[in-house]
Amino acid sequence: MPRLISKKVLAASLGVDAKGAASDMLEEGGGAVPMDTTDKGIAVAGENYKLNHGDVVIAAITSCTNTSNPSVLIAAGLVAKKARALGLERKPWVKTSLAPGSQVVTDYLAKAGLQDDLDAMGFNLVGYGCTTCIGNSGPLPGPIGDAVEKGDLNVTAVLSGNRNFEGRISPHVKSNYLASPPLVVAYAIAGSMQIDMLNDPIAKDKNGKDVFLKDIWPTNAEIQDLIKKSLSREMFVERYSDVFKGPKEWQAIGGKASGQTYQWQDASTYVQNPPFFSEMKAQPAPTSDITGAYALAILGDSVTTDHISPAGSIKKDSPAGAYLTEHQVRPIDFNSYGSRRGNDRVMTRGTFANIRIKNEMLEGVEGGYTKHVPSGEQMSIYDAAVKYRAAGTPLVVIGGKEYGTGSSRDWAAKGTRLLGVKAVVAESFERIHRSNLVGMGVMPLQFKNGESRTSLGLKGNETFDIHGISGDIKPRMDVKMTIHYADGKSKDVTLLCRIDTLDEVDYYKNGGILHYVLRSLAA
Amino acid sequence: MTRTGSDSLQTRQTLTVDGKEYDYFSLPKAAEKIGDVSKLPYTLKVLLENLLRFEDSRSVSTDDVKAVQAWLTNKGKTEHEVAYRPARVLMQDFTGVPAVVDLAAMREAMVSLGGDPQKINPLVPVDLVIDHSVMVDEFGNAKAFQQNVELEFERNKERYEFLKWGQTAFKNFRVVPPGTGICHQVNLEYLAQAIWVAEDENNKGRHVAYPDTLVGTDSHTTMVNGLAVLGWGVGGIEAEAAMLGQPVSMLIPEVVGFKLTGKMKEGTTATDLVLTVTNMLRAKGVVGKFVEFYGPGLDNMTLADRATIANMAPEYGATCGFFPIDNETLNYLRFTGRDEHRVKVVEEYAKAQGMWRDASSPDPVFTDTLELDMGSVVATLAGPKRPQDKILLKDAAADFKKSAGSILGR
Repeated sequence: MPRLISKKVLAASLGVDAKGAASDMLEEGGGAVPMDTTDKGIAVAGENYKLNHGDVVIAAITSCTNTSNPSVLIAAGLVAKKARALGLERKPWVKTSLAPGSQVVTDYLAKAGLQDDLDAMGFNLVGYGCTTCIGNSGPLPGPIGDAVEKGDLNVTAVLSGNRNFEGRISPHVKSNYLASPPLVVAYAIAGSMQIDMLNDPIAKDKNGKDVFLKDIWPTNAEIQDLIKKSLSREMFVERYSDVFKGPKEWQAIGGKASGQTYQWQDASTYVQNPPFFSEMKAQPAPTSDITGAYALAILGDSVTTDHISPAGSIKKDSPAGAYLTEHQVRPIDFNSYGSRRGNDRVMTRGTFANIRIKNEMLEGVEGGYTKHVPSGEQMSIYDAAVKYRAAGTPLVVIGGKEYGTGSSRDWAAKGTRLLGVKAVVAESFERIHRSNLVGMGVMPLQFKNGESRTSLGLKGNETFDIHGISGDIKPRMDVKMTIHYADGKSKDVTLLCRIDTLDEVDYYKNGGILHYVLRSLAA
Repeated sequence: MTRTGSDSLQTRQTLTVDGKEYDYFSLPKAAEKIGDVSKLPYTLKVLLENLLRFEDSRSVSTDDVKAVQAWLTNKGKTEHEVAYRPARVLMQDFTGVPAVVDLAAMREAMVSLGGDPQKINPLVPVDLVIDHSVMVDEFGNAKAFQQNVELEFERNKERYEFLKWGQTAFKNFRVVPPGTGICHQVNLEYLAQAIWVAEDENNKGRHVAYPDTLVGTDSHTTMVNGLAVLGWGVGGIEAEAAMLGQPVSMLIPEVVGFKLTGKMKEGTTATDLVLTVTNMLRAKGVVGKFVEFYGPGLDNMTLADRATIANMAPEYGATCGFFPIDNETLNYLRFTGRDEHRVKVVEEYAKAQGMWRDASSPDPVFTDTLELDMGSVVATLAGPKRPQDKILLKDAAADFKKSAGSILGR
């Protein structure tokens, strides 16, 4: 709660008896307390400086937001130019980088004579792409990273990016500031977020005289003048005339890169042929009722697409981790679920594998587990799905309100399908995930009349029959579900079929949108 | 090639530019049947045109068309779902690979069905820009670029080989190689055209002009809204659907107008402006809504600055952050080397459709509005962990000292 800070605590943050105050608070269990930001330094191995809280370890001109905007890039170059003229340099602990969004930037910075100045401040070209802004900042130099860990330092990144969520930019950096490209250069020279950029000197010139931000900040007229002199239509025409050619490394890729169908590589752990069409016939089989289905999971309210298909790291002891290990991938090379979306084998194993998902079929267990009902055993959701498939048992998932909320994620629906789930029954659906489920041939069904998994007392040991979907399917029709409870009783409930449009009926009847399009093109 | 619908409202008209004829689906013509639409926000005019062009009494009905007109009275507060078909798709390598994997699997399946695999292609133009894989391993020296490129190719060999196959195998599918740029810049500077033209599949020999629109598999797809191209980021399945000519379902949204006045002060930058705008719109609450910029401030604003503001729509939570077509749009298209004839089509089309903005254009009707004098913007940062948490440069050092402890959880 940094913004609700008491005066006493604030004094501590400025260095007044900070350590004492902090430990007192900790003993009282008083929650967040500002650290002593003035506490000087952790020695950096092999260097003649110490690292402190607030030190800028990453200064990056990066991201789509700013790096095609000539006014801020020319401004960054002008800051570098003025700084260089005064004999300033970046601080040695700053990882500096310039990653323009387009090659035209390189042309106009060169034409303006500013790339040399940027190079002098450490802002050499590192690549054309997203880089630091999406977390591809690369490792910090070893001794710097070690010092950060040793001192548990709150070091900073200043980037011209658009996102700075915790942990995104670099694992070593906890405080990340978005700023304009010229400010990024200025912070590389100042080297610390603790410097008041408007009132403190940011560095000393070659004669030992204080330099302030205003001494190196360009005027709008200077920027506009240089833009006029340095940018031209020809630069765009020239750079984009051959845009699909690529560097020599790209041109050198050949071999498998030809043919009308792809030669799938058995050994690849990144790209595999997904089994969506493995048993596909020219004509779709008539739709059929779902009978004798078990619940693969019973989930609560606001289950997100990230619960259903996580994007982050792959745990070693998860089904996906086991698969990668079997394929001789070392844990260090596991990479993320996000990077392996081209491999259904990883993604299906990762479906419902979020460590925070809670299956109500199990008491007090978090993570991607379920009870395999016939055996009563607890196992991973993926392993249970494999057993059910072997036995030819259809599956349903039961959910609460706002099922599938959060950002749209294709594998949340694809993975659900590939696990063998035929229908998801929930109190309500997030709009996009609902349409994605239909797109993957999974039927979304909505409880009616105020009924829910709790009002119906669902435990996960029931079986489910869904009737009335074997013939004509109409958008938003009523569907009957019979619940067979473990005690032998049964109950019929009416559900709303959330296939909402005529197009969607076609998708569902064909087994999904891809199948629908495939058959229309095959005809 | 593009499809067209059944045109039940008979709005198809012809526009002649430099002696070349283009058919288009006329909003003024539609207005004769459904009522005045001239005061709709520009974004909804784009949506309305899309519905007119694809109206087929099945996935798009004349009721859907009328629902857009009715927006002028309900301002998007009434939920109405429509089927929207963007003109093209933009992808990056992280999210694009699975989409191309599915296409490749469809080719395989086509062979199994005894069909011709060459029939499987995207039905609308798809561009995939490889920009997400390069990492900053080397920095601060003259060799950094080349060394990072080499490492990138080493690490991503499997995926690049696959994408290169896709580029040669599929029609309507282009790959912009690694080391070229970021997808949104390449889109802004090269791919986007503001107004798209294509031959009519249902009326061979006739060309249709329509607003350039897209969905992208990256959240910052909105950047091209700065060039009056309506588009936003979507998940993989919607992108695949769009790629295969299927509609993206959406609600007719609320549209928030953001009025810009004044001129940026000496020493301030587009970044300062966008961080200020982001902070204001987050406070307003625009999730799931369109945002459209208007007001006299647009007269002083470069296209590059508009694109910077449009870029951060996901950070302010909006579906898009749109700037309509005006003289600056045309100047930018020319300066970046777009074809002169196309630039004329953009101007003539926008004027014929009521999609043109100049200093004398009346303000559209909006669901809600807010206003910023750009002259009030000062040097700004955002952090330490959310893009909407604006910090003035003058307060940055003090703010760091305040927030530093809590971030470490002390």
